[in-house]
Amino acid sequence: MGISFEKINQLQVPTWNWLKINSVSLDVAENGLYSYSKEARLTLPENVRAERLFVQPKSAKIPSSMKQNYDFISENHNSSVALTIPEGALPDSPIIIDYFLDKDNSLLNDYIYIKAEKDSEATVIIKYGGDNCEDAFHSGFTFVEAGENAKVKLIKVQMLPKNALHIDAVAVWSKDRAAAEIILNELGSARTVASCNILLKGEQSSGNLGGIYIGKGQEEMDFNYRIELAAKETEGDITVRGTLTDSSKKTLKSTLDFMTGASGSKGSEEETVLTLSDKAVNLSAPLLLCGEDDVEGRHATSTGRPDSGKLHYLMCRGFDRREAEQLLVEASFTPLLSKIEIPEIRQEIKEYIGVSIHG
Amino acid sequence: MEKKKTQIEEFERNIYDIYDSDSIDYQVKKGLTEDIVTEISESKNDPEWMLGLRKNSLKIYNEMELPKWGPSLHELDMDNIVTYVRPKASMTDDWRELPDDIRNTFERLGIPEAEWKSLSGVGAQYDSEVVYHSMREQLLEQGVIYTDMETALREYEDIVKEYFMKLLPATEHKFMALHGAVWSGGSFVYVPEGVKVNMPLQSYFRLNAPGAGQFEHTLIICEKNSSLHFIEGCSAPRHNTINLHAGGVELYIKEGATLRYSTIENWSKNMLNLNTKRALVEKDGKIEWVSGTFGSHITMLYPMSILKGENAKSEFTGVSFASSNQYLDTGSKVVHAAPNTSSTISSKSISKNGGNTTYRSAVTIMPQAKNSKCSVICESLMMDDLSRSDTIPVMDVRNDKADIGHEAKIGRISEKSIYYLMTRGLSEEEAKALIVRGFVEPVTKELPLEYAVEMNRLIGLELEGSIG
Repeated sequence: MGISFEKINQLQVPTWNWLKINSVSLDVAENGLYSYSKEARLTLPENVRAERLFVQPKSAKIPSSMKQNYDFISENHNSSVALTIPEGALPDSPIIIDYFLDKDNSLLNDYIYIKAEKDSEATVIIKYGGDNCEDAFHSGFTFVEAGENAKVKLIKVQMLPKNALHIDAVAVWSKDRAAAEIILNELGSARTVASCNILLKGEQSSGNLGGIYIGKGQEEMDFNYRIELAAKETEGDITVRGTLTDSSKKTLKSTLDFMTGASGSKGSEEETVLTLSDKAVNLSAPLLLCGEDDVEGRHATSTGRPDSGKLHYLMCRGFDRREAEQLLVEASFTPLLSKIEIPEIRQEIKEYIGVSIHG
Repeated sequence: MEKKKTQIEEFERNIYDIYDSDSIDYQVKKGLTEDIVTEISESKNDPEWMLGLRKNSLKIYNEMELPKWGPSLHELDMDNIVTYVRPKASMTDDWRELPDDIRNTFERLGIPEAEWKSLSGVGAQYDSEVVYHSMREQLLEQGVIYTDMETALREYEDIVKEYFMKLLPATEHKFMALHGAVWSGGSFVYVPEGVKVNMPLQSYFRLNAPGAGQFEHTLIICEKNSSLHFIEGCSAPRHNTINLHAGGVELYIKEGATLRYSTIENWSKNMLNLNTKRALVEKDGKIEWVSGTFGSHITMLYPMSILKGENAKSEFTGVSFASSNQYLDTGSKVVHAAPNTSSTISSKSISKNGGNTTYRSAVTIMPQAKNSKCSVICESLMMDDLSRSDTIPVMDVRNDKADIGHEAKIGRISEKSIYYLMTRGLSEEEAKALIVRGFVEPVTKELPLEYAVEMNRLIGLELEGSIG
């Protein structure tokens, strides 16, 4: 038996087929994989409710581009967590959900539902790690409902084993004045197909999407990040920082969609890629879609080697080339990493990045 | 300051919309069959290899699908398109020999006047055939060839055979295959080594017949260290039926040569403009695209530069202006295939009254294109919330020694800018018109005077009294 995905991670507005960027199809053989039978390790502040249930969003809709991911998870999930941050609750520490795959638990399909009720404020950290398994498969779907005036920060850290296949989707639905901040750290796996869709449905709501990735060996990554600005005076920002080494390949599709009626809205998207190998392949498609005149949208993309002047400066001060490159890579990730409040997790990511760059 | 929606009136199109009802000498039946393709080929006395190319292109056309991206082409019914229309005029190098209606059309468009004032040569195509072609004596003496494609096929068959549809094969896409099957007319330019053509050459394409297609082929070869500015203009009167334009432009720029290719396109709003343009640039060569897209119902146009030789360069400057019932899907493609190549893309678009503009691009940096540089800037101006403006760029970078930068902006006219200009004594209308003119200025300044005037006729002068 196998797992099959047809044309997922679709670019919202397709372009030339020869670019091979419009969508991803993949088949996975389940032979040798063992269903995740452990419970997710949960760290919960007192005033947050958690149930190990599959909770469908009621008022919010699943984005059509993620329907295939959602249908797969709703039928095949082997772990689910539903979190509720009650109205007005301000937990004093992050909620942590920790998954760890191993040879006896190498197939994880998780569904995580986060409901931040009116005026609440919370940080949720979801970690995917693993060890001691030849192959692993993870498919995940995370749904965030941010209620009126709620503030939700979701940090995902993916450090799955090097042969793993990782398919992840995050959907966010925001009400009036809600603020959603999503930071996706895609660091492990042989193949990653990740998407995030933030729908700013409420007036004056905001969405910040930060993405960090690092490609090494033969890894392939396909990201589809999108913010839909669908109400008045919304703000959406996408910031992605990545590094490519060896023969890794990355495709980033990022979209800011200013929908008719989103007057007074603003958005920006920015991607900076540092390439450390002449065999790495880097594809970027930063889309700006606009059906409203009273908006301000911009995007900027830059790709190239680390700045030679900065490298020279660091090497003059005693660092060898490898250390200097590593410092510059870390520096490019710093604006996003600094948003992770827990020093231990931040340090773990930094160490993982260091090992990834130069082994 | 109170927020108000900006409105821009429709262009004045009178001079473009005059239709000559009695200009057709002969036309093939509607539709696309092998018999029609053979009939076109026989009427032109094509050599055997060209008939073979046409038939093979038709076969490829029938096997290919319509593109699954971009604007919908559901209104195109090839069974209702006439692919070849011969006007009542033989080719001449004397405007006075043309029939009155045809000559008057080109005079209204200002072509003879422009030729007299500032051009080295002019070609004028009416429906499927070139009816006028001339070039200054001095260029003839320098060995420059500028003629229609049919004459080139007869008189310079070896050169045409070497280059024709080699850069734009029929397999490229469905409409390139269609072009290969039924092409007619167009221009052939050959600039010998070291020759600098100081004044531009210009070809003007007029599609008069309702329900017709125009499939002209332009082939330009700039030999080593030569230079040329080629201008292309196109227009058509408005009909109630769909017209189709699927031309092909192949540009070969040899070592150290420079070619500027300027286009002002003002097709009528019943036109599907599915044109394909491509340049192959060798070592130290340079292609400069200047493109203004105003008319047509649907345009899909992305001039492509293949930077094949070391230090080759490409510059693309384009503006598109879409109003109601228009879907202008334009942009550029660049392939960096050699070291130290560089390219810039600067694109501007304006959408109003429900018009749709899309900027679409692809920049590819091949593994061997070390130390290449590319800079892309695109800006879109939205005039109202009935319109759409989308930006769909893709960058594919396959080596680590390339510097690629891409910036895009979208939005309406800045109220701060309007306010600033108003504090300096301009009315709100004048301030907005000034800003819009400034927005498209990077394109107008690249055009020769006559074309800048035409562009002003299309944008600047109309805007000045009507924004508000």
